[in-house]
Amino acid sequence: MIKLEEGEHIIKIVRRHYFVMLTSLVTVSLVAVLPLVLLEMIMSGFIPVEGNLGTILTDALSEWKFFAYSLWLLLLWIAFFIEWTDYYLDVWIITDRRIVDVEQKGFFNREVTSFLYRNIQDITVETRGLIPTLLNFGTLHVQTAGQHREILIRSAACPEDVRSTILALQGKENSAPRV
Amino acid sequence: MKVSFGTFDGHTTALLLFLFAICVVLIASVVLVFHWRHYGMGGKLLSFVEFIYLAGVLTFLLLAFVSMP
Repeated sequence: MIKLEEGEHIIKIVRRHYFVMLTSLVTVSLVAVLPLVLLEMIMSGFIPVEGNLGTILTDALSEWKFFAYSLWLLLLWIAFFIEWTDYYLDVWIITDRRIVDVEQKGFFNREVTSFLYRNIQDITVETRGLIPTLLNFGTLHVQTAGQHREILIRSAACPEDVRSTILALQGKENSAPRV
Repeated sequence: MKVSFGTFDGHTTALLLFLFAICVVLIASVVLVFHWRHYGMGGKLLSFVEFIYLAGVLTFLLLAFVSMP
């Protein structure tokens, strides 16, 4: 969990759009039914199995199909949650003082970078294609003056809103008297 | 016809596969739950996800055990 400074408040949490997860869900569902489709194709003779192999295969399938399919679904279940974890932990936390960019690359590679609003030079929103336009998601680029010159989040949900929020917070920060 | 794989009969092979699946599940679950609890933002969503994940895993393991050849 990200530790905030004293008096710091989270304004917005930005993740990739749920469409990204929906794509994964559809893929996993298709892969889940794939063995059933293959089995049906073999049984109906659509995929020809020649000679003794047909009998061996039918015998093995009658004994093993439920067991093997349960393990297959178990594997896909875990794979889907691994994907979801990557989605959930890859996040921008916009607070009233800074942006915290958490980049989760797999399980054991995590990069956390913070940017103060005064270091932000430019924010770009990129929405390409029909689905991103209709569902309102796109890539957000933030150019900074620091060592990490650019951070980006792909397929961010409501990128224009995020941009407006960051600009408003930056404006507030710039107009506040420096101590 | 009984199915066998090399020196193991079908039942032993299934049992070994099942034990291997349990090992995979244990490792994956520990890693996932650690990430959710350590790096997650807390709240009801994570508890719900954790419950759904574990319920699914246990269901599939139970199904595999019951249908073991």
